[in-house]
Amino acid sequence: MLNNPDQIILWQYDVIKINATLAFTWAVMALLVGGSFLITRRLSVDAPISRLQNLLEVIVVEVDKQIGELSQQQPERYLPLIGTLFLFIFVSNVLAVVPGFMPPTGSLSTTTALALTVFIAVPIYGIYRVGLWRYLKQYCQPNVFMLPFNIIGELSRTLALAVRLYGNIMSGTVVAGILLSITPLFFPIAMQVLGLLTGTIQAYIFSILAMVYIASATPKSE
Amino acid sequence: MAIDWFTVGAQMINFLILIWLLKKFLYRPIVKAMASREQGLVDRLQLVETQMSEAEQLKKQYESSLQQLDSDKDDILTEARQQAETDRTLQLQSLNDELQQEKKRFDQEMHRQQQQLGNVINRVVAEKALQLGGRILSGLADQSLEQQIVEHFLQNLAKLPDDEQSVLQKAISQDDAVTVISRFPLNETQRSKIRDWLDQSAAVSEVVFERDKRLICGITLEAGGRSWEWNIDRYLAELEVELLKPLE
Repeated sequence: MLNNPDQIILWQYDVIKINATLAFTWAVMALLVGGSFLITRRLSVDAPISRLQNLLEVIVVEVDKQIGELSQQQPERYLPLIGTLFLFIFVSNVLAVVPGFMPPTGSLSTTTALALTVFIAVPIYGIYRVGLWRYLKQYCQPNVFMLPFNIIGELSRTLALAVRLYGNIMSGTVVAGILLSITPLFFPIAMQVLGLLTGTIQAYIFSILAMVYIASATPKSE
Repeated sequence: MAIDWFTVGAQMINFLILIWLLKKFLYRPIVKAMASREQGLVDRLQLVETQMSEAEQLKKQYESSLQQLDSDKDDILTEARQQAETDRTLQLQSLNDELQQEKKRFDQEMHRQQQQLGNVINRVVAEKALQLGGRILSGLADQSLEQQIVEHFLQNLAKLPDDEQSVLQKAISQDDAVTVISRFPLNETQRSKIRDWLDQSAAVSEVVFERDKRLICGITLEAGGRSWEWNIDRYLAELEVELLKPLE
């Protein structure tokens, strides 16, 4: 049983290869960017607003609101990263119901990539906001002996972020595969619906955690 | 649980590209549109507030004007009423004055007409009385009255003052003929009485007796271009003068 889309190689030249993960990622990206482009090229400022524009506005506003509540800061700076994380994971997970589509988030490489992005983004935002020295100083809080633990905490949470998403999505796919071989009728459909729920929740959790990490790395005292 | 590090790197790049693309095609336009809408709403709200405040101000102005108008209306009405009352009083006064003047004129005219009428009546009464008196005296005039008249005339001549007596005597003596005029023909006794009296007064050559019916009753002596007479007409004329004097 082939559950890892990394292993489906579509094209390879030496170490450079195009696997299903990348292909499906591009599909999701095309869908997101294309949809956004089609909707936002005809934005109307005044009423009446198209339903799709309204949907996008609702998403953006809600993400903004969540960021604002979590960070207690202006959400504009974090919106592209957190919003994109949510949208990418959400669309990938929801598309899992499409037969033949393997969500890129079911690949540990993708989730690792996302977690690493967050791992890099946290200090960038922190340094940008409070400066390098003050940012580094907080790893020595409450005292310098806590430095290794803080670093381990930083790494472990990145690892947890990656594995959590991967585990949830991959497990969903695996469970669906297993159930399909045992009870091919009806039950896998219920599991698919459950998978939609799980995928949505995971997208939300991943985004929220990323924001929490970023917010925790940028002291509010500033 | 194998991690393909090439895929990891590629996915990171993909994700960054996705962030950039979504920022360009999704977040920025949507945020911009929402900000524009919000700004538009704020502007519209401000406009509405401005218009509301303007409307409120206009309403206040209007109400104030209305109150002013009401007040003015009352003032104007009061003033007009006062003016009308004053005019009415003045007109009434003027009419009253005019009426009084008219009444005065009417009274004067009335008085004048009454006076005229009184005058006319008095005149007519006097004339009628005189005529009646004359007529009565004419009716009464006869020979015996004539006799008395002659005697009365002769007594009057005798009672004339001295200077008049001398004038009479001179006139009788100078003239050739003395004329005695009466209404009724004098009888011989009367004529001789007159002739005797004349002879006693002065030497008279001739006495001529004549008649004149215009005399109501009376007698006239003419001599030397002068005349002496006793005539009821004279008394009547004096009475007429006396009667009509107050009416002139």
